[in-house]
Amino acid sequence: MNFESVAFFFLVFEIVSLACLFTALTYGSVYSSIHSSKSSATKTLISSQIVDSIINQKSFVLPFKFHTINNLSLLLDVLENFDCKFKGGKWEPLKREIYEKFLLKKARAFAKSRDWVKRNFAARCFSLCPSQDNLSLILLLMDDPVFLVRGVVSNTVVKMESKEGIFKILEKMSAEQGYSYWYYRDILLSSSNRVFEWIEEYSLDNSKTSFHLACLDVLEHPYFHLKKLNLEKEIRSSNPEIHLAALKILSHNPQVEAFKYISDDLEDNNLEIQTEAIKALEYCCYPDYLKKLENKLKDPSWTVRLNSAMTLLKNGEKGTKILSNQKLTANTNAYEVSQFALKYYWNFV
Amino acid sequence: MLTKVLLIDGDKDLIKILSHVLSAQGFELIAKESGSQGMEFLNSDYNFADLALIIIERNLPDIDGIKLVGFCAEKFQRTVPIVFLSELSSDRDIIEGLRSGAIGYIAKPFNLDIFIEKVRSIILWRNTNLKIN
Repeated sequence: MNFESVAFFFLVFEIVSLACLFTALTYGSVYSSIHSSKSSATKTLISSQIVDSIINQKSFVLPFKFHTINNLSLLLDVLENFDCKFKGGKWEPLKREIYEKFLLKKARAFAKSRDWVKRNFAARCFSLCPSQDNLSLILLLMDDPVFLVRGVVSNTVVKMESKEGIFKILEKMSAEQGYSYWYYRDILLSSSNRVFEWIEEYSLDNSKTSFHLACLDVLEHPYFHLKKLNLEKEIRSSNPEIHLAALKILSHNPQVEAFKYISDDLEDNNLEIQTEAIKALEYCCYPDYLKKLENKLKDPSWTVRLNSAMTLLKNGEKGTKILSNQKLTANTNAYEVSQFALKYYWNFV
Repeated sequence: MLTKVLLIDGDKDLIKILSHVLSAQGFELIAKESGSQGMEFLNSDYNFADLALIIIERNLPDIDGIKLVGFCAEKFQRTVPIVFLSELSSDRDIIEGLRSGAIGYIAKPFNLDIFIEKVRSIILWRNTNLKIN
């Protein structure tokens, strides 16, 4: 075999490979475009059936014979879409009817599947119509290794107001970091007062720092007012994170000794704690607080000076007057930050 | 009594449902599926004197709902009430919507029964105002 025939063989092989690759890519793109247009046509059909059911108050009929995972996924997509538009009234009974008739059985079967896509389907179904009957499966899915499963199903326990589930979310929050931490925090912040009361109850146990911190972080929510938790221990904690979290709660939930703590924290070595104490003075009028804020305008730290100036501005006329009265000759730092805040206040709020 | 309601929303399913529930209550819905269609209608020779209410979706695909509300508020000199219908429901979004000239803000998901009552009370208020003036 000479060199030319080997080269010719490789050339033919390359041409055939390229032709196969081209065919596969063309087939793939044609298939995916047909599939996506078919899916969108099916979704339109399901949507019009649902609209018909709402308008004419009649039972929903599935527009396809085979209940495959693909078809049911499309149904679930449409239901989730409608659920973003409507609540209560005519929509809720129809949604539950469709869920019980077509999705519930599959969701229960898929909850223990080895395929995470099926578990995600189950989690989405449970989230669509939360029910105590599925609590054990929901709690099981909350421990799923895939975030797209445990994240979706965590929403369900907040909707259901399950005390056990809320405890589990707090546990997850204390164990996870980054995006998932904030995701859990956000769903807890959107929960009811009843859930906040449970979180307050859980926060009384400070045996595990990360769990305790997670509870305090959620209780920082400004619309909830503490009933049982006395923050004295937390505010005196040697752990700066606990101290800071307690201070944030205290600023919205003034307690008997609050000003004493805030006043002490105004002199704290930790800049974050000091700044938080200054911000706390936005909400409550404690004795001599304006004078304390005025003194902070002379602080060597720009962050402290700026936050004091902003807090003074948020205190209205009295605070603005203090800022306007600062003289360049008396203290350059105080004058500079006061002028800055007066000029650029609206850029910060 | 004025009974015509203009709805500018890109969601065809929502238009069908609202058209049905509003007509069942004796209101007539004029639906436009995009901001540009809405603008075209608002700039047309249509007799707007019988328009009782305008409902605008905030997240229109082609025009910012806030701008459209501003345009309507200016065109009708705030004589026709405008209500926002939107998935954006944070405090900031609602304040921004109301400041742009809308008198109401309905956040999605909403209850159809409550929606009807809100529409009815706004139209009633509009008709009473009209009589007084």
